[in-house]
Amino acid sequence: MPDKDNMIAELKLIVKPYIQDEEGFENMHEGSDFINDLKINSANLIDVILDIEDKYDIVFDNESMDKMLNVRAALEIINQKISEKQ
Amino acid sequence: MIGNDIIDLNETKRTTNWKRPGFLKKLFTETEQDIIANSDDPFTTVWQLWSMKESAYKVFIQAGGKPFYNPRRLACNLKAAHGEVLIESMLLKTDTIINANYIFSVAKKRETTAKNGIFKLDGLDIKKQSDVLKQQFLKYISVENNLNVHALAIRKSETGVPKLFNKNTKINVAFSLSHHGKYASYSILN
Repeated sequence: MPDKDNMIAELKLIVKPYIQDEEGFENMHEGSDFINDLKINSANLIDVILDIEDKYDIVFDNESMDKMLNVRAALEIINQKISEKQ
Repeated sequence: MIGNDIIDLNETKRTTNWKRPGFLKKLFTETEQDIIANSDDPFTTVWQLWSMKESAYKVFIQAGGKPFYNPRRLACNLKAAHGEVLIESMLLKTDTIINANYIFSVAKKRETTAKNGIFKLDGLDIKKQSDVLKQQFLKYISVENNLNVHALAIRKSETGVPKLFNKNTKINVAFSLSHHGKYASYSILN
């Protein structure tokens, strides 16, 4: 299982081009909400998902798409999909 | 309940590449992808459908629906004069205004009328934009209802739905606020 802090750091690099709240981004933590705290435009959240899929070579299914509201959910989805590959 | 959404077309061109491989498949149902593929102006159709989904989602949350992201769970249908969006068992009617600058959609449960205000915001950061929009909306409410604008405030409920207050008393007005790029809008259910 990858280290959680490292994963948050990796996720920060992925979301960086799309955030519109610098303060929310600086303080990004597990509870951060992509749309309300980082002010990521809801259409750009699709870009975040596609970038995550590319980086980790995983696919977001319907259930993952439903959950993709905050950093914690993103980490859970990434971990789950990586473990399903192995 | 009422939900609205405004999309600044220049802003969306700048920030979002809808032609990115895989993008449309994540956002739209098969039926919606067909509507886009057969459209004379796919760019406009993409953002028209997206604004319908966004406005409908706001009503779903106001009605106590559980937050989710998956845009494919909101199914759009375009009719001659109106649109429809189905979320779970909730069917919403939408109206959309499209011009060269923005696309604006309003979603409601019934075909009741709404008062919409749309205006341009310039050179402000995203937080200031939100403040200016709230002030414009409160100013409108104060004039229409003969209330002191300084006694009016917007507070978010626990589920993040904005509510209107006059001197700490909640006023039952169904409204929705949206801003994007250089444009802002408020919608009030009549």
